Amino acid sequence: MIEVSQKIKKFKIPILILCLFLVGSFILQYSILLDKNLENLAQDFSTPHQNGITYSSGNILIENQTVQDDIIIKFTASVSIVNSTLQGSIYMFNIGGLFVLQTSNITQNVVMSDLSTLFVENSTIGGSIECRDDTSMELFDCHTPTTTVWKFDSANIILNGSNLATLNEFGIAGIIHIINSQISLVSLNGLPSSRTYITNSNILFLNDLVVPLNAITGPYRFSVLTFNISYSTSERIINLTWVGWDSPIIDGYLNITFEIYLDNQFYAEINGSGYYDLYSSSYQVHIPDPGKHNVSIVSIDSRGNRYTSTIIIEQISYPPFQWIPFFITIVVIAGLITGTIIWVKKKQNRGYFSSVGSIFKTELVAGKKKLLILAITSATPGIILFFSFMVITSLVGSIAIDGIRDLISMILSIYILYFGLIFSISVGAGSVANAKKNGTLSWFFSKPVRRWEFLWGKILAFMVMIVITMICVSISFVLGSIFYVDPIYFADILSIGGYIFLIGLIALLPLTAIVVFSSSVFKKVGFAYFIPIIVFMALPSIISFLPMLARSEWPLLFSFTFYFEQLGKVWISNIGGLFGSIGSYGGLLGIEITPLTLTPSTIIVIMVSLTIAFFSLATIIFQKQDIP
Amino acid sequence: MKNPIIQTFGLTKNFKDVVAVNNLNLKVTGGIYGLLGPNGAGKTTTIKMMIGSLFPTEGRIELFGNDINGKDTMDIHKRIGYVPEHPTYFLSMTAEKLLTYIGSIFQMPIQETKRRINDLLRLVDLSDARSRIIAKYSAGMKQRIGIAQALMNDPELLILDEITSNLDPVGRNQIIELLKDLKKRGKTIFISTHILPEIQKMNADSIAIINHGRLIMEGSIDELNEELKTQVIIISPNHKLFREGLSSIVSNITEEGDSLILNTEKSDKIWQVVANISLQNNITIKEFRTTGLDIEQIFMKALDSEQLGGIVK
Repeated sequence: MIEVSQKIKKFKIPILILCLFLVGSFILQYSILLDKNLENLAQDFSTPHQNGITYSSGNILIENQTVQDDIIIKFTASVSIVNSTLQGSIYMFNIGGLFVLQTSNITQNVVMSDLSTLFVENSTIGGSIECRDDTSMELFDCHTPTTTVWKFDSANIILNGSNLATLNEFGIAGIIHIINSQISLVSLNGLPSSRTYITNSNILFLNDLVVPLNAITGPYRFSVLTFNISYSTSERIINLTWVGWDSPIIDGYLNITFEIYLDNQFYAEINGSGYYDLYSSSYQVHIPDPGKHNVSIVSIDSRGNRYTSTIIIEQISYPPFQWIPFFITIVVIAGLITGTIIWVKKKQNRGYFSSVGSIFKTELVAGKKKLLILAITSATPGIILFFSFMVITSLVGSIAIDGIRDLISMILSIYILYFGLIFSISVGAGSVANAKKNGTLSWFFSKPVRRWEFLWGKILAFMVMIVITMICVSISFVLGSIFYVDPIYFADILSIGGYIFLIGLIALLPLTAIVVFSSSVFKKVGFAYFIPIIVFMALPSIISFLPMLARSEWPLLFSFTFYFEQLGKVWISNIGGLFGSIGSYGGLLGIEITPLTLTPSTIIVIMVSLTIAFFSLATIIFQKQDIP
Repeated sequence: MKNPIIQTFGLTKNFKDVVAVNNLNLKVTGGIYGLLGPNGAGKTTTIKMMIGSLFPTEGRIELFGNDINGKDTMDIHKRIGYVPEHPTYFLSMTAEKLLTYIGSIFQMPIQETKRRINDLLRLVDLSDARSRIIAKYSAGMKQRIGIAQALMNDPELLILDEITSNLDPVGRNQIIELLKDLKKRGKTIFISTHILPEIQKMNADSIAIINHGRLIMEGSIDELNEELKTQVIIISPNHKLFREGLSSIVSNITEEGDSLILNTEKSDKIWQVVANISLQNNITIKEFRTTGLDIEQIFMKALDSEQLGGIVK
């Protein structure tokens, strides 16, 4: 019995992992079994079913029926509904296929996801249609003027000869084709990788936030004109380009006038009359101040019909970098450091902190080669930016500040994520653990050195290294960006440098605290290196805050106060990170997991708390630990 | 009665299920004190508890009358010097920089630090290698710089952990001479080793023998000789009569020519018996002498006795 228990003790970690795996598998399997219980309810329409009717496989035809229940279609089921009325909703998951043919009527909603396919012809849908995740939907000759279509992620939609109330587009990919259709409101909100093509259709109001990759082609009534819109933040100019056709085109000649309105106020009039190649036109609209604005283009055709297209542009306010608060902060930090040094000196004279200074100095001297390497490494993003800007400017000419922001933010995101890990581990992981392993530490503690003095001598040296490294990184980003940008953006670039420095500090301090903690607490050097990596992987929220801050808007780089305001709008990440890890499992279990929205002060508090907590824990545990 | 420099009270250290040091009571009053024991006996663990690197599971250690883990730890550390078995100081530093660093830890004034470095490097015969980085030193030189760093604060007590175990005979002798010199200068030296003749060469004032973390014996070499069995040699033409007479008292008797050799701790009693036999039988005793054991014999006998459940303090 003793032997068995000893063996169990020896293999306790693999046994624990196995148990977790088995429990996880059981939960997963259980959730699938639950779904399978619904399968036997197919084609029984005589009485209402509590959980709806589920089709999981086979080709099912529902013809001349009135179905009161919800219909759930999933897996490989292929369902056709002909001349029928559905009083419930239709839900389609996991490659489910539904063909509604001829004069059918769905009184409620259609919800589809996960590679499902929907083809609707000459039918009506009373509620809304929701398409997600690689689904494919085609509406052909469907007159549903009150229906709203929601398109998410990589859903593909074709509307042909149909009419809708609203089409709302979100997500990262997918294509929408609108052909010979009429829609009251089209709202395009997804990423530019999601494309929309409008051909010979009538859209009363288009709200397009994803310019310029949507294309409008074909004979088109002048209800919408949003094509190739771009704006520059610093210059606050909207470049409008559009293509238009008169309704009665006579011999290729167009007799048309365009009126431009900014915030419902007349702005300009353009005579668009001419032959075909003059139908396209462009105009620059100057936005007077940041905030939400609408720009309308009214097209007046040869018959005097007026068609209005409106776009809404929200220009984020990027106030200039606030140097005064920045310098006040720097002065306060410098004051705190000076005050601390004076206080420590005084205490030293009374016999306290006697070794902190010596250890700090020795650590810095010992780490000078490492610091030099880190400083040289920090030139990397600058070099990448330099060559990127060089190539871009040679191809497209000058770069607007938005483009500069995008590129810098992308490189900084990657840099901080990986550099933070490399920096903290290379600097901190072996610092205490190696000294413990080779016996230096036990020898060192035979001197009049308090343990916390030893630890904090090192920690202070790391902090100085972080500051020096981040100064180098900031300079690198500034120098890498400044050579190929318009001089009007120099102030912005310098601001970016300032914020990169601050972001670096906020990022590296907690990471280094975790690494120092691990180096101090664990007796094996391998653990000191390995555990922080595991922690960073298992708790990506710690490091995902900062890269997520560096998203395309880059608001944090332009204003000290705006940075703190916008910080709170950053989610922990619904793509990766903590939510990404647990979100999908939550979905399997039917638990809705919502990404967190943190306030700026919360993020700062979390980062500072992590730093203080790990440094304090390291100090407390180290104080009472046996040093072999 | 001198105040003890080091005194342990029921010192015990457990590493999970392993008892490394078991209820150890030592008392060091000065001079050279050797802590002897085979590998794994608990010598290094004891020393690391002495310098405050390991915390005792039970019991306590007093240095200069103060608990090493009490409020006077820093004051104690200012009065001791420690040399570990494997010198792993800042190997990338030169000897001079290492000693300067140690000086800064002791908050020594710069001029005093420089003077002290010169003196110490001369003492350990490393003046010529002062600007060489320690990593390039030989094993003997590393141990000597180890002693120099331990002496930087002019400590009253030197704690040395098997410092000669990796040295060649020349290196060992240098260290031994150095320690004898330091003893003359009034330092107390606590040294652990399993190389026993060194302790004898150092003229250790006291030794303690430990095994499995337990104290087997403690005292001066003479005291231990007294306590352990002594060798008695009787040379006589009729020694067989003596053998018969002594067989009831001593079991371990060997004959070599005219000689009887007895290993016993009862030499006084044996003399009485031998004298009686000689008088009663009128036998001439050519020689009767007792000899002491050398330290190695003491050590081996002490371990044997411990295994037989004999002497355990």
